[in-house]
Amino acid sequence: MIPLNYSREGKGYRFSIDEDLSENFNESVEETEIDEDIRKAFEEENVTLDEEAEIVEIEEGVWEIDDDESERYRIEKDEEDDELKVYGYQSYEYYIENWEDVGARNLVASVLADWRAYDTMGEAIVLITAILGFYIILKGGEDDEDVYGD
Amino acid sequence: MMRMSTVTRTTIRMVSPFLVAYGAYLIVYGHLSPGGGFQGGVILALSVILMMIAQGYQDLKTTFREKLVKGIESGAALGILLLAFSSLLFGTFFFNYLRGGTPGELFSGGIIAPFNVLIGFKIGASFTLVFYVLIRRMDLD
Repeated sequence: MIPLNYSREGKGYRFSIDEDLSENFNESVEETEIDEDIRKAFEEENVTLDEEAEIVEIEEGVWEIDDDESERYRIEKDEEDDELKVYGYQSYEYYIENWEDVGARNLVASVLADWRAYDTMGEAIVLITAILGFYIILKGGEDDEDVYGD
Repeated sequence: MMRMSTVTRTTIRMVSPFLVAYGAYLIVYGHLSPGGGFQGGVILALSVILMMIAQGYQDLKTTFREKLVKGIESGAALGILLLAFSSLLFGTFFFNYLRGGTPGELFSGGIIAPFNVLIGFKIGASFTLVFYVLIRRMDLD
């Protein structure tokens, strides 16, 4: 994924939308279509939005762009700076927001043994392979004394 | 094979049960507190290895048979794979189909706890097996 610029709030802050667009942002959103201006603003930050990407106003003053399954952007007004800011959703935020789904009160265990259990199984298989190799090479025993001796 | 001094042997004999209990605690409560299968498994293996170093390999060889250790390792690895494939019945590979429960209770978090137990057995048996293979070289010499 794209490297992050974390804001102090830890929301995955990406960039701000300039004033002209910010003021007319409400009008530039028609249903779920993404306006040319918004596309241009994203392209200036080297983010090319998908042709079929959709923008949805999830609550007043908060929009969400679904690019494809892996990339989502949240556009929200910052109260302090009074400008629209674009945040990217990242996997850690997903984990932190949805840890209650798993039911274990341990985020590390939830990541290791639930969302990333496949990864942990891979680690276990790496270990079993290592031990298999170790065992084959150093097995020893009566029948192969000549390997270690003369 | 040589043994260690009486002081070491007595101390290790006293400490080992606590190490086993601590390792089991780390594994079983892995989804509630820091710890988990890997850490607990290493401590389990350590308790066996310590006993062997202190008491002498020959004496304990009959208690912790190599075949048993191998069996536990392979069995746990197969169990992990079975657990992973059983999730296919409920959705995707390694889907946690028992999710839920009250967070903070022992029976919560779905397949995290059984997964941790299997990983713990696997890691513990793996490290013990490494020790077996290494120490058998001493028999040869």
